[in-house]
Amino acid sequence: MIISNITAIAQKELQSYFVSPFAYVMAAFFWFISGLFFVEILIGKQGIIQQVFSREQMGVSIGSVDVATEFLNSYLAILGTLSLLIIPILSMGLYADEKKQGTLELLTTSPLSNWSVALGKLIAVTLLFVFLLLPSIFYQAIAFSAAVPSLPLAIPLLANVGLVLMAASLLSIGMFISSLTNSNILAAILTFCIILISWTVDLIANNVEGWLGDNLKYISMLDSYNNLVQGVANISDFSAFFSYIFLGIFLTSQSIELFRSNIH
Amino acid sequence: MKVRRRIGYLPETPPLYPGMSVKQYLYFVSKIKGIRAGDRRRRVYNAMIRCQLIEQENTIIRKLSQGYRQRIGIAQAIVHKPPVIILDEPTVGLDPRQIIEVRNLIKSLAGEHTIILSTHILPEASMICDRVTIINQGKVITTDTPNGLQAQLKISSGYQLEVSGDVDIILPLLRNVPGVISVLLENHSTTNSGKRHILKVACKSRSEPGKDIAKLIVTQGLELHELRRTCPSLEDIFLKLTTEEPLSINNL
Repeated sequence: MIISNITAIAQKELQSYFVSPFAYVMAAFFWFISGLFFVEILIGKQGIIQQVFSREQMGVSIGSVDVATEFLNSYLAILGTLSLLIIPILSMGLYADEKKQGTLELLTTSPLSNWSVALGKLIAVTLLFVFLLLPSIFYQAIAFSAAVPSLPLAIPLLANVGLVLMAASLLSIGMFISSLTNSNILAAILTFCIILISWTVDLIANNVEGWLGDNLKYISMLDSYNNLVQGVANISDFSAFFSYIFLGIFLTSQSIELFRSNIH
Repeated sequence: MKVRRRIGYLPETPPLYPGMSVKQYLYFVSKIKGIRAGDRRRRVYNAMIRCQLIEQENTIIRKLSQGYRQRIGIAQAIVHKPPVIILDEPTVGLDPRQIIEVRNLIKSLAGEHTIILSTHILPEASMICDRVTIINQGKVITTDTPNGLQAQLKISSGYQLEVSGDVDIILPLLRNVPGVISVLLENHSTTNSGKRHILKVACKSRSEPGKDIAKLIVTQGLELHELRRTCPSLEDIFLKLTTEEPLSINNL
């Protein structure tokens, strides 16, 4: 019953992305930029391969460089930054559109719990993000299959899972912000600000010593993401992401509850 | 949750997803209203037939007119066969033909469902509803049938007359006709055939002094051009009940 409600919402959301130009425009933008960075980082003039090659030619001893790992780190860092730009746009309409169309009243007067609507929407928008990520995962698969010595599959997998988890956390917070307003643009701007703030939390965490710095590291999404990209799988990083996802869903259902009591 | 399963609600603006087709939308609604997968097809088609949406079942909602959207809104409210349907201003923003269509649709639903209709178009309420509740500033003022409400006003019916001739003779005589409460000389209009006076006669409810009035006027040698019965509309009742101001018995 609950599962079928969640899938009904998720299905409806996914369908709405693909009947409008929304998903296609986002995909075109993201695929172009991520492909461009992929080429530039790997085989461009300033790319990793070129740098290692020229240093070896100049006779500079740089020890052994694991090009594959280096590439993974810098490419996933770029993807993380790109996500910063597109996540507010993905999450802005989640509830703001429903409010604008008046369809939120349909959802709130149907036998659905608020959190199952929120979860369904989050699943759908996270799937859309994964869809946007697919080509770059494909590029990575090509690059890493050519790496000698070969990179264990778990490392790029963990990095990409980390990216999806971070995106899901930010989308969850963005969904909450979207539920507060019926203006898409306002929701996008606020979400963008929140993401920037969460980035600065990481900056502060790295510069502050001792107790405060350690704790800020725990709540910093970027720090958890970097750990996963570097192949370090801590329970604390996963639990940080899942806490953010849970927090977003919880706050969203609270804000919808408030909306519900206000219209009656 | 149980309550929500048993009501169908149509807000003032129908809650539609413009990117969906009519059929997709009703399937989605039937899913979230908790209809079992096996029943959905039948229920969706039933609702579309009731609301005459079959020929547009695959049209994207964005392309449909306001009248269609309102009907989809009603289809959305009845798709899970709730015992109670709440409609909030269902005819706002429709053209007269669409209004008639929507009203007929609502009337046709009345047998199977209890319909709560919220409206400020009072003729609509007196046309469609079996019982009327007037609410002023959150307080229920009265609940009755439309006819019962009209009877509640003591001085209910009256007549409007258009006569020519010497009115001053018949005025006192008219006041003596049984059932008549007051006679008001309203104004006069001048037409090609001379001066005409408009009289307003208020009479006790359930009395029928019309034929006596007509006979009196004719026997006194005046010409009777028009004799029309006037009834207080629901507007009069509403105004009388929601404002303290005294109200003229007839509205023009």
